[in-house]
Amino acid sequence: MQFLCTLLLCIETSPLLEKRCMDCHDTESAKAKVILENAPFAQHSLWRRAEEQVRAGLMPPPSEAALSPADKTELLKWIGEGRQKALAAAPVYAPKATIRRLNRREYEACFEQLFGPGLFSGPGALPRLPSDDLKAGFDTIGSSLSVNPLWTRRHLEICRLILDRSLPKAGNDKITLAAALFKITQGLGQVDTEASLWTNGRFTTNVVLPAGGSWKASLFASCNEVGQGPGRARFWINGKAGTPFNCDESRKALNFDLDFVAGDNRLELEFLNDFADPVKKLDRNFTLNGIELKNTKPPSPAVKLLSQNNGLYAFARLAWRRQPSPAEWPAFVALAKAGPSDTPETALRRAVLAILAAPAFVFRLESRSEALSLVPEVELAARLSFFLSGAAPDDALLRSAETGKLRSDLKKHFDRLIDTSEALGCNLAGLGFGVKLLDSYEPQGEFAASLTPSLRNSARRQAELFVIDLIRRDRPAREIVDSSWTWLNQDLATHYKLPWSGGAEFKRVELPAAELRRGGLLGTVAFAAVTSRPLRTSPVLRGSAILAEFLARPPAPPPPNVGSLAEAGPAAQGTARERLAAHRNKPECNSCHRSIDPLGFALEELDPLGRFRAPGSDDFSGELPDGRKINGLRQLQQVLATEETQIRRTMALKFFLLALGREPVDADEPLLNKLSSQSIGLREMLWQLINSDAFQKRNNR
Amino acid sequence: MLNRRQTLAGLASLVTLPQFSNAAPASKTPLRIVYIYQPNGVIGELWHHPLKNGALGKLPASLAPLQDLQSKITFFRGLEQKAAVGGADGAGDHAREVGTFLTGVRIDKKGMSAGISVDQRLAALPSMQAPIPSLELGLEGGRSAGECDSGYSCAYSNNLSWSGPTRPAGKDCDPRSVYLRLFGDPNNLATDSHLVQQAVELDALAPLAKRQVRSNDSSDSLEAYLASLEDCRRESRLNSQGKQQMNVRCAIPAGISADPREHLRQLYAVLAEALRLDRTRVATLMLGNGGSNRTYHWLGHSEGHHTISHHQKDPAKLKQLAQIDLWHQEEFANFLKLLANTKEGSGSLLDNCAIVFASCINDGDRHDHGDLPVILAGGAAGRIKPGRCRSMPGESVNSLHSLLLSWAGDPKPLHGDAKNFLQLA
Repeated sequence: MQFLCTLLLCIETSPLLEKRCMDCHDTESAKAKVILENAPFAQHSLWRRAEEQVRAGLMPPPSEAALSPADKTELLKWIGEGRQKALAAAPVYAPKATIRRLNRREYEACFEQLFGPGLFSGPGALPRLPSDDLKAGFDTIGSSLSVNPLWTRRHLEICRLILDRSLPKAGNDKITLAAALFKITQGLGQVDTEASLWTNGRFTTNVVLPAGGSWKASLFASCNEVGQGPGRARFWINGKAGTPFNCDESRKALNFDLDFVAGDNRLELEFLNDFADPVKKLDRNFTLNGIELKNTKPPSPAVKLLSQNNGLYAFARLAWRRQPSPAEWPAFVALAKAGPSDTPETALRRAVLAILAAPAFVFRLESRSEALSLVPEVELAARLSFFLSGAAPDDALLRSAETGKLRSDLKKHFDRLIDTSEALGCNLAGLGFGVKLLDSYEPQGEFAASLTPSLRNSARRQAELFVIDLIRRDRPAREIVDSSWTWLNQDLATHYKLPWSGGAEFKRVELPAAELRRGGLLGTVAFAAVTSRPLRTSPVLRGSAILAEFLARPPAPPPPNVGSLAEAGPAAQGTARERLAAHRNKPECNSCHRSIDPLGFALEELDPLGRFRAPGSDDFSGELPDGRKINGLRQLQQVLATEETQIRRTMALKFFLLALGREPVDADEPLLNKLSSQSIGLREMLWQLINSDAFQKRNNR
Repeated sequence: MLNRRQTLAGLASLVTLPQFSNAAPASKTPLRIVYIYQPNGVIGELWHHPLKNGALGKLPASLAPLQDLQSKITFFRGLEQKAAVGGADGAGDHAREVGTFLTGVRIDKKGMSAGISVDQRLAALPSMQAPIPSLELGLEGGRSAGECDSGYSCAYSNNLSWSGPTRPAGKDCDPRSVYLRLFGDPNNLATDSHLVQQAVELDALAPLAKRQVRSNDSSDSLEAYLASLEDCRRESRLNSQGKQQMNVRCAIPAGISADPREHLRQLYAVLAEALRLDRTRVATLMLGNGGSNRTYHWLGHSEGHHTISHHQKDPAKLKQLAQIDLWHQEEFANFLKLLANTKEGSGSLLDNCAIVFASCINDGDRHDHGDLPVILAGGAAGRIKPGRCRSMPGESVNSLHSLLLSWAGDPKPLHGDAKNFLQLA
């Protein structure tokens, strides 16, 4: 049947195609690498590309006569109709699920779900896994997420450190520092069961804490009440001095809130006002009996779970994103039972470590199915959650799936995850539009001084907030290049020279008509910076980035050995623009650079930090392959915004890569085509993607 | 599926006598083999000329730092890696420069598949066994967004070492972490019970992980995970048997230094100690990922390495590239001196090493994979007489890899497209 359709479709040839394309794209002469002759429309990507090249005016090539407007319309209509038929007839495609390990950000999010936030950043942060090998710019592609001994060693190290710090065991919430643990590092005194300073000086000790933040400290210490006023002392924590306090003979506990970091801390106690009067035999010493530290942080979810009845099972369920099976579970329970050489704590720790080292935690496993069928709801919950919130399903989502209600309540969970999690928006901005590269952008000279850490942070945050909002409010995809609004804070408003009435916090603002240039991502610091060199902008880099990231038309990389500047003649020694023009005149460069350069020139209006260059300071104009002229950022935005279908396609492609963990193949074209050909907002696009066969089903044959 | 260690160890045990008897070990001191990789190629004029087959004279400008050591070094001309040539795969020479260099096979553009790399084959050979089977080191992690090269998986640009076709070995960029793995924590020696506990825990969890895989749809990455757990388990058992007191002569690094020069020096120092103390006999070190765009600020550069490597014969860029080449040779020379100044047996540690320093692109602008810059430092424990240049135009660099495999006693040393191992007689 399919064969017959294919046959029918290729019988329908077009005289126009024959006449204008087959000199090169035929099987016989095969002058071009792309063969259209006898190619069925079911070769979706091939014909999509052909359609695009004709529409963009890139084919026929400049060496041939251009198509007349009427011919162009007719040819496009013929290709369009053929494609539509083939797309409508395409079979459901939902391949075998890729078994893939958690990528680094998912892994860290999972740990933070279990053990509390902030584990991997700031002082006392845990070590991080090696970075993931990206594919197609994304960290979600299963085939590139490999495992090696280095990865596993680091994984086990992280698990051990977390368990050391956070499992319920004596000393994790309350730590007693006996006087004997202190050393005198300054002044004279003696340390025994109590510790005394006879002169001004310091007691010092190291304390390893399971969690950072504020701890309640009870100090048991005394000072002889002699001389003028009370005794004075103060804490030093990790080299930072605390406020001095009074100390008397009462031996009552003195209470403090002290800030520590997770892990190693240096704790010092300084005696500030020694007093001695040998004549009267008066002597004020400082005596330390001990310090008690109490964690004021609420226990982590893991600790709460593990302290419940059947807690290990509840922990495993969250860690594995499913209930442990009756076949596998007894072995884990057995591990948690203390043997003759264990304490209950070491046994529990061993079992928890085994749960975290189990493939069910490390990998996203999905069950087999011999035929095309819906994935079980528990697996759907994981697909949904990792895609929309970048982490494992929470209890509510998991419960819904376990009770068979997820598919019927899907919209409710979809809305909740979209509205509460920022992960998808951050990933789309960070990976999909390269905003993550901002962290490693190293500007030099004047730009280095201007890109302050706070501006860098604001720049990243602006892009993230904009994209999150674009999705949440179901905005049309074209607003990624042209919107009447953006997100700003005071920092950025000042940087962009925009009026600002708000406070320091970010908020959404409507842009004044004259400043629509700041709408979308093109006019942001983030995009300007990640498409710049350390000391300059590059129209080629920017033009290529626009083609690749906004229009899903990445240009081919330059052919090697493009020749020397000297060969290109005197023009090549001129301005950047003249050099590029010389370059563009070479046939092997022209096919890409005539698309790249005009976009890049328009964006030259922005310096590496997204500040406008003075009008007339340079030439921001260029001509697109189809003859349209653009000048400056605003016109660039307007021209790009007309490419609505292509921008939707870019978005659909990026969502696809994040959601499905594989690169699309030809058989995925019907889905991508559906997502990009309707006039829908991004939230609706996501909803349709989530309801697609590719997302909902799998087939392991 | 058998992992490479099982396969190769199995093969090795079948054959007691090497089929190739080329330069049988002359001394009892163990051979150590290291590959050091520089991305983006070199300036050939200053690297190759005036090297000619035979005895050495004044070394080329970029190799000047090696002048004092030239009697310990073999310089190669003309070696090529055909697997790195684009052909039907088109663009992507920077993915291929790394992905093919030690694997010697073409790499898959659509998915992720290469081949086992020569260092990982070496690490599996009986003569190369040491507490740590191999070290994989590097200066750069992976990029955080964007394409690495022309549609290829970043796994190729980021990984020189591959323990199997779908198993890039990864690399540790943190000298502290490498130090701790090799030598333990000098400030925290009282951890024996801790190490025992770790070993006990691993013994307990590994079988459970295995059972869970068996009851699932297995895949290569799951198998890789189980194999890596076994690797950790083996290492952990070894550690729990108590580390002998090691007299480590370099300080424990604090982490990844913000200064890339310091970062590299620490990695070299830790590596030299690893070789001296025979903690490992095989290592790779990536001075950058394929197509690395690191900016060499300290040389006064304001553009990244890859950007300027497309020099188009611009004299300013050529000069900067030559500075990069020279700087790497200065650091390399210092590393070699660490080895040369360490006595071992009747000679030096360097005499017992085979240290390959190379790139798998000749000219960064041309992206060519022929006449590769390749240096072999050390005497390979009596297996080679250094101090010469060997010009062998058109010879595969895989023949050099094969030679090293044969030195290490591999009964089937041919690697990649090599038809024989390099004949140096």
